[in-house]
Amino acid sequence: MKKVLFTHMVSILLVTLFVAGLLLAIPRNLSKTTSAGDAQLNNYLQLKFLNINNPFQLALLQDVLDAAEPEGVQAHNSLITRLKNYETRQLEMMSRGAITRQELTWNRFFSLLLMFFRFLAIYLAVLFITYYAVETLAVYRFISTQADRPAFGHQMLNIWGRWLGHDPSLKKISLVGSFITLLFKTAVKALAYLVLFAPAYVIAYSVKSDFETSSDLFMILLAVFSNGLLLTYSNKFYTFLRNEARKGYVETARVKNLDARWEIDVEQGISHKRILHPLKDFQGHILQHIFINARFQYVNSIKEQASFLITGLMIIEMALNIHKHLSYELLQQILYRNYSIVLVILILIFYLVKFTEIGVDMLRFKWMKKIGM
Amino acid sequence: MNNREFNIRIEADHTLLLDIERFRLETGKITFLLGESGIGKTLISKALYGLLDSEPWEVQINGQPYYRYLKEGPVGRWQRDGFFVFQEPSSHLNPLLTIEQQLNEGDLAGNSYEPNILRRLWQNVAYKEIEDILKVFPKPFRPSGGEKQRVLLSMAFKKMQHFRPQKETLYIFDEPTGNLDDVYRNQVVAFLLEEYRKNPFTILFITHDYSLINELYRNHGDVLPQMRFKELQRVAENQLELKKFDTDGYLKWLEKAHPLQSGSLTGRKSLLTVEPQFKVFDRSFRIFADASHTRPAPLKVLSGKITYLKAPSGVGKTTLAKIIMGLIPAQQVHFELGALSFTEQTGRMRWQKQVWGKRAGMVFQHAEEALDLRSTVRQIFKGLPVQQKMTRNRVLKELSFIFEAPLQNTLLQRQVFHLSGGQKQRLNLLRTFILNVDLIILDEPLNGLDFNSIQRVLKMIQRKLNDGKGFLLISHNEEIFDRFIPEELQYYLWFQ
Amino acid sequence: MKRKLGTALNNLYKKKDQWWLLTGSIIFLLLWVWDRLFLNAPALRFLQIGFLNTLIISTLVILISLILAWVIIQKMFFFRGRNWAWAELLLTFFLNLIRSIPQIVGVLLGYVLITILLQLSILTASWQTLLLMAAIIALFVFLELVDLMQERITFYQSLDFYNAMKVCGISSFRIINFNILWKNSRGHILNKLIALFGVSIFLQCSVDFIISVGLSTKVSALNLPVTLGSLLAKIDSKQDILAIGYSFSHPARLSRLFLQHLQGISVAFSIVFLLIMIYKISNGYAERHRL
Repeated sequence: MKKVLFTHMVSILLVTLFVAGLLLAIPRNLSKTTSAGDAQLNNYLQLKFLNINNPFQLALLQDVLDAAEPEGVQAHNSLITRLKNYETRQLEMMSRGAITRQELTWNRFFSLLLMFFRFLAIYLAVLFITYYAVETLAVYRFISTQADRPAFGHQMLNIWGRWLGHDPSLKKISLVGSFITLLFKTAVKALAYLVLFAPAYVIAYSVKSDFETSSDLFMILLAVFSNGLLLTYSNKFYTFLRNEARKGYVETARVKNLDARWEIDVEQGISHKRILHPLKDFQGHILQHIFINARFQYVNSIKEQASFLITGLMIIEMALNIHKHLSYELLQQILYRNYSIVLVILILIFYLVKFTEIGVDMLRFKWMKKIGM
Repeated sequence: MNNREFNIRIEADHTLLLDIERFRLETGKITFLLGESGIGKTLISKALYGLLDSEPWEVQINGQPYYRYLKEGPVGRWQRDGFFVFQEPSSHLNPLLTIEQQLNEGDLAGNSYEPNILRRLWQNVAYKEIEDILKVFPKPFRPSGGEKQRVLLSMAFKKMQHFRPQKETLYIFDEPTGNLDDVYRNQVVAFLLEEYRKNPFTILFITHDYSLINELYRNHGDVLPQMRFKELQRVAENQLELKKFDTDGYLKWLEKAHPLQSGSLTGRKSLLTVEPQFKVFDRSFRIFADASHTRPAPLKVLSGKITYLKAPSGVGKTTLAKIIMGLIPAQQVHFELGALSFTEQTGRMRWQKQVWGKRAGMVFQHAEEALDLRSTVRQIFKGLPVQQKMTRNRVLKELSFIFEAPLQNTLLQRQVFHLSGGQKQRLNLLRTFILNVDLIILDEPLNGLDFNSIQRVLKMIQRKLNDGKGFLLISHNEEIFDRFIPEELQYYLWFQ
Repeated sequence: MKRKLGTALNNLYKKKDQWWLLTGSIIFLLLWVWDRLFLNAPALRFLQIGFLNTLIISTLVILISLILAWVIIQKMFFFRGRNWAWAELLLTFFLNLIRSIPQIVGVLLGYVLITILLQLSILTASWQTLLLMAAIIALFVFLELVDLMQERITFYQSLDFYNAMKVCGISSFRIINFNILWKNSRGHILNKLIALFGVSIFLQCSVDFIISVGLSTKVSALNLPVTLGSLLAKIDSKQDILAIGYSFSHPARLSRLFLQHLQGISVAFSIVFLLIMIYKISNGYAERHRL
């Protein structure tokens, strides 16, 4: 544990030093670039009779320059494009009502910190909810496959096969009934897949067109039910369950005659109550052997899940333009090229990722210590 | 008679794995099932006990689908009253539950026979130490393989003593002594036969440890009439047959065995000399020339000779072999490999440049791990540092020394994965035997081989010895190797 | 004949990856036919270009990722074999530096770089832009492939497998590349590449969407190649998507979705269904090969 913790700390230290170095270096470089870039345009921007917002005047300027210097047509084109871009940026900044250049002050830093804590709270809430949902969905799916219940697609193909088989003993009406039921179930499942796999912004824009800063609950729900997070990770947990089910110790549990029925709420089976419980325990059933091992295997994947979740949350805040949220702020500062603030936000997010990793490693080591590894 | 015969066909992913007709299990008798590893002994026993009911297995028994066999066959009763002791004890214990928890769940919960059984299986060990083991969560390195195997056996004995088995009750033991040295093996067999004598029941005892036969003949002659020795043999691809094993023939062969090499020890080139004391993993080891560990001596391997290094399992024989091959760094060691001298300070690149495949080679004990199972037989021989190119014909010629004739052309294109355990082990040996090296280290070379293959491998070793090559051998198969290697070339390893 | 078809379909259904590749392609074909019939020509042209560009970028991403990962792995194990701990440490530090930047932020910063290069007229041809977009995404996703390759190699090195071959004099290069990566891990690598294809589509669409709604619309819309993400960000597409939610509360309007709001619906469906399809193919492949 100490070695892993040390590696994390070294990594945090090195990245912090790296970012600190950049923080010291960037403003100087940036001001150089900006002034160099502006110098070429300044001559024209200072012409009082030239309104760069007017396309007609820009076209006229290009004609005049081309006439005066026929050999410099390409250079004139480039100049006009840059003047237009300058105008675009100006317009955009005006439309946002934002201040383009911002210094990194203590006040600014604390406001970023507040945004970070808000981000952290949402992140933790989503992480816990999704972890519970991932486990629960995976267990339900695992029980269903162990019970050898065929998938909807397979059932449909079977019905089709029986229909084609012209078995006179079969009543076609009952086949039609089964087919319709299955079709309905498949449609519901397909819809659920479409929703759960949709990027958050697709779901969000199908529900509302503008997003308030106070809608943290909306964000939590969106983060849980979008971007494929739930399905991807419940599938991962399910894969661990399946892999563990093939291990030798499950055979040993079987020959000791532990409960082994893969049905819900029946004798020697598993109850809904036990599956839905946040601290799942299947004592007496061979699922307990499989589950505790799969859970142990999954611990490392929490890091991956957390990292995916952070990306998802950032996409939500950026894509939905949710004001006063950390990622929206990051987007704005990238746009205005306030790289010092960008770096501060990035390092805060890096710390979040690292502390999650440390937390997960500590949890893993706690379990490993318990089993004497 | 109530004897049962089964026609068993097992497929996985629509590929036929094995097909056997008239697999006979005699009620109330002890069937010893021999045969090379990987031939299908475990699969057959699991199929009979009803454990192959999930993907990817597709099983037919007596022409019936498996679900019908599970419903109508004897399996329900067997599962209720009997037990199955699996091989590979490491994977058959749950790493996240203590040994004690695992000894007290399901049918085993709440019966009080445990302490006596544990004392019996851990003879010469204080009960306090056994209690310590009970509190342990099984890990790859602790308890040891032998202890884990005894834990699995304890489960079987617990059930046996709690639910007195009837004649029909089936207990299956799959390589139950593979991780035990001969002393513990004999204790387990004695315990099992003691229970059997009380009230006979049906036992299927799977093993490829042929030396067990001698022990049974020597010490359990009274039960011999109740024992059946059978060997699984391949009669065609995936087609198996259960044949009676000629125990007398085996015992006679052993009796007539002569040392593998001839000629005196003097005047031979020294291929390897290891100083008697070395240290690794903070533990000091010593090599002795006698079994009572009184005469420390440097371990020597001479050209044309085979040197046998002995020690109880887990003492560090393989570790020494790996130190010699530069795979494990020692804290203190000195040895000479031909004209080259090595110490704990020698850089790893030296082995790569001067030893591996040039002066020495090593055959690892688990062919399943040592070979690339996804490669074809031909690809196994690619990339070896041999002067003569490994053409198709040359590979076929080399294979003909260890594989049954006639060799099929398709063999070269077969994936190693699809070979039987014995075939893999022979391939594992051949890969190193092909190299033009003076010294070969053999780690458990008879692992998983049937009697036929054992004889072939011994011939291979003899051929190399005749070419002046030397061997360092590590094996727990003392009954066989003691007959083939003279005492002056036997060394004993012990730690302080 | 009918029965044979039924059996063939049943067999195909068992190979979930191939099943999803086939049914997914059919569904996209149907969508295209529907759009050809009911979507206006300019929008259809944009949709086709956006769809193709998205697939081209993602294909490039996995190719670049594969090359990057392979080169890094060679270097890493070369350093390890030579005991050059400092070189290995330096390489690991740079990899961790990339790892420490959330993928979305990295790609976003990369896109800002592209817009700058476009403004400075350094990037002129659209293929250059596509390639650079792919390279930037690859830079932030290829580490998953490095991790996988490293994990596989380390796993096999911990078995006798690696040492047994080494002591026979077989070169480490051959063992790592032929025996471990090619013979024993190509299924895992292919599966990871399929997953990266999905991640790449997800990141690409998200960043394109963010850039289109967040950054200078003139710069991005005019100069960056059209992709599904940028198409989704168009105001008419957003209105089309909003119509989905509206249709739930007003079911009578449901039929309009597939005729009047076709552009946005098609774009959104293409993104979501592509992601589902890749997820299913990847899982099916993993299950079939027991990865």
